[in-house]
Amino acid sequence: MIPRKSKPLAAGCHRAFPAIPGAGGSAGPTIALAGNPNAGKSTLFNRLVGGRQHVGNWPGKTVERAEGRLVVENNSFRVVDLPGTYSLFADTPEEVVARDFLLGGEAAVTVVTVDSTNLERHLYLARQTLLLTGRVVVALNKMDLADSMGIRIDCEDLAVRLGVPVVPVSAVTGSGIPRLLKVLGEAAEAWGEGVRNGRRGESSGLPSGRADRERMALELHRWSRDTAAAVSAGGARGMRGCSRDAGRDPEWEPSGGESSRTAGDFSARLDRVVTGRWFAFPLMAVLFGAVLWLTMFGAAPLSALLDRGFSAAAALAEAGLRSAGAPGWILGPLVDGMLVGVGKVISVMLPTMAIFFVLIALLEESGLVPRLAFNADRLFQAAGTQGKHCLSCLAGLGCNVPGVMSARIMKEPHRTIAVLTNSLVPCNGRLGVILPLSLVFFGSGGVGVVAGILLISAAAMLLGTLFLSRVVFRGVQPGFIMELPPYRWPNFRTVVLRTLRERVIQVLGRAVTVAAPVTILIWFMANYPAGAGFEGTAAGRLTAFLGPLGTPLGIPGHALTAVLFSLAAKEIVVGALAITGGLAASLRGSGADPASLLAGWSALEAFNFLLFFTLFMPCLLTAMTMFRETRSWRLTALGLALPFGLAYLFTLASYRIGLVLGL
Amino acid sequence: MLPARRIVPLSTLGPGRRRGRIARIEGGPWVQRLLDLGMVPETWVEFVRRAPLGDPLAYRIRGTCVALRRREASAVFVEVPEE
Ligand SMILES: Nc1nc2c(ncn2[C@@H]2O[C@H](COP(=O)(O)OP(=O)(O)O)[C@@H](O)[C@H]2O)c(=O)[nH]1
Ligand SMILES: [Mg+2]
Repeated sequence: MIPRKSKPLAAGCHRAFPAIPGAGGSAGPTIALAGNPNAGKSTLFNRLVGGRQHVGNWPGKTVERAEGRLVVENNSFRVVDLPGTYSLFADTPEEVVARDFLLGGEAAVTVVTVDSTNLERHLYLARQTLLLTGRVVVALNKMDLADSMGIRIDCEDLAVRLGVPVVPVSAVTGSGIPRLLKVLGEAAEAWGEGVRNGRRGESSGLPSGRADRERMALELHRWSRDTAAAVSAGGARGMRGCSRDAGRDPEWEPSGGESSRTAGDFSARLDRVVTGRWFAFPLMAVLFGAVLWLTMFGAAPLSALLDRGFSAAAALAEAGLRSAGAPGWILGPLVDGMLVGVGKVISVMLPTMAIFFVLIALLEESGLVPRLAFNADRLFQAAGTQGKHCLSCLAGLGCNVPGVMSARIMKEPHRTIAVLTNSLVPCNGRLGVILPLSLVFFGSGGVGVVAGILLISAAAMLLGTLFLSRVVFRGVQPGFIMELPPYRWPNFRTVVLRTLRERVIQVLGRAVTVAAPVTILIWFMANYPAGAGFEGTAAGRLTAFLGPLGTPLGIPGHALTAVLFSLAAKEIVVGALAITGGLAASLRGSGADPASLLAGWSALEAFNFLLFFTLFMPCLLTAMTMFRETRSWRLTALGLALPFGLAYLFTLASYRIGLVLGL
Repeated sequence: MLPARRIVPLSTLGPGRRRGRIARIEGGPWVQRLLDLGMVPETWVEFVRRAPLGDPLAYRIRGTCVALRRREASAVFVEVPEE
């Protein structure tokens, strides 16, 4: 059951959304959470359902859907977190999902989360929601912040004006939550009966024509402004970055000059540096560098520790299996293949992913990330996309799987372009290989070599983007419209917990399920058919076959085989190189001496190998994610072919240039 | 007595003349997005800053700071006092 991409606004949609299995399908009446981005909806959702939640996708859409269970005094509710949107009128996938759900009448109660520090803007969505369903409770969130800003809101007056209950809460401190639960229970009881009796979707619907929608938008904005002005008082305007209200008390002053400045405004002052003409790009470079440095060097000792743990486990498992009389063809793939291979993936990925994504989430929470998109937009516009593409590249530096998924923040065709080019951003898995290898081979020049490869990757990514936007996805370019929220101090604890749960564990689990079978396959290829030494094995024959293909690139055949093996997970390339180079019979024998791996190579060969390995192709897991996000084999194939083509071109060019220079 | 006014594209606001009141928005696929962000007639907008490469532009509107490209900002027309 795949919903149509968009539908007429007025169509009364009565389709029931299937419950996500495992989230307690028949868990009683449904409570839907709606709200603007940044209203605190996710924080409220987590406070309501705690750990009893499940994150998935809306059927047929790449819009995240979180669902959980809430129990209040023996009554159980199913809580559905709707996508955060500014409106319900437009046809973005998020808004269609939210609108259809509300029109479907499935929710016994819809909680609209409203930011009490920005009432005027948030009331707009509350009012729109009321057009779709009358069964609404307004949660007036961030009351702690409003209090500290001196904003007072007359909740009773607001409730009268809206015609629904209004409960002041703070999702962060938890104050007001018991009261909200009580109101929700009562509302569900009063309204839920109607749902069960089939009295669904008593909404008046929304206007369908563009002119009607525009008129309604205007009306609702007027209403929100007047209502916000009537029910709230106080609040030092200009306290929060860009949050000063330009709408109140308009003065027709000649230039609007001094009085409209927000001198002494923390966010505005910070923005003068962060988005300033001179500092913006150096600052971004320093930030990217710092994040990478912290990740690599912070993760290294943890990785080493985990690696030792897995080696010990492998030795233990081997001893155990041997004493149980297990034959070599079981022992080998299980221990040398899977345990060591998967151990390698976990010990490299877990610490880097954890550190990297916590750092990124902190940047996100602080409000810095939207500024990066703001700064970079012009650059990416020239390549054919927009500033938010920079953010999915940033995520890709950690791991291309979340990198690909984060393209969702963009509209088509920018989203697809970002999905297909993300693997050209070298992930931590690759950086974790090329940095030590080039340090071993090039000595102190190694850092420069890695920086060069990073620059070439960036060029390849922009080139791929340019190609896709000019050749494959021509047509109307959506613009760039984005809110720049005020800076704030991130809440460390929630950031860490959420990142670990949403990003790290998920990706890690999937990485292991992909890496495990492939490392077993690699073991068999490197050991069978047995008897004729490495040359006789499947891997040996592959190497002989690939040899001539590597010649124009200046890369030895066995290195190409290793690169091919690293499609399982880029981290294993070092182990694979040891196998195909005849230095070891299994991934296990590899950790030993990276220096011996590249022994006898020329500088040009080593550089080209590192370059080709970096650009080559997304790992299997990323390819699978690309397919899930595009739902198209054609586009996924393009996402594999494009980096391969670019890798070939760039490596070929590098070899030619190198030969001319006499390297 | 109200001073004389004229209507100019939003993109012409800048460090010199920061504020204007929205008069109308001209067509384009982005109109609904802009409306939803609060860019409706009679609302005051204030120029905040330019991105380091000159585009996009940031404006303060209804309590939030919104960045949009010059192209979109050129489709929004604001009323400003005559100099
Ligand atoms: N002070 C304060 N901050 C809050 C409250 N609720 C949410 N926030 C913050 O508002 C920001 C947005 O919250 P989030 O739940 O991610 O919003 P969402 O976009 O609606 O899901 C986060 O930085 C939260 O920490 C609250 O009750 N008080
Ligand atoms: Mg959220």
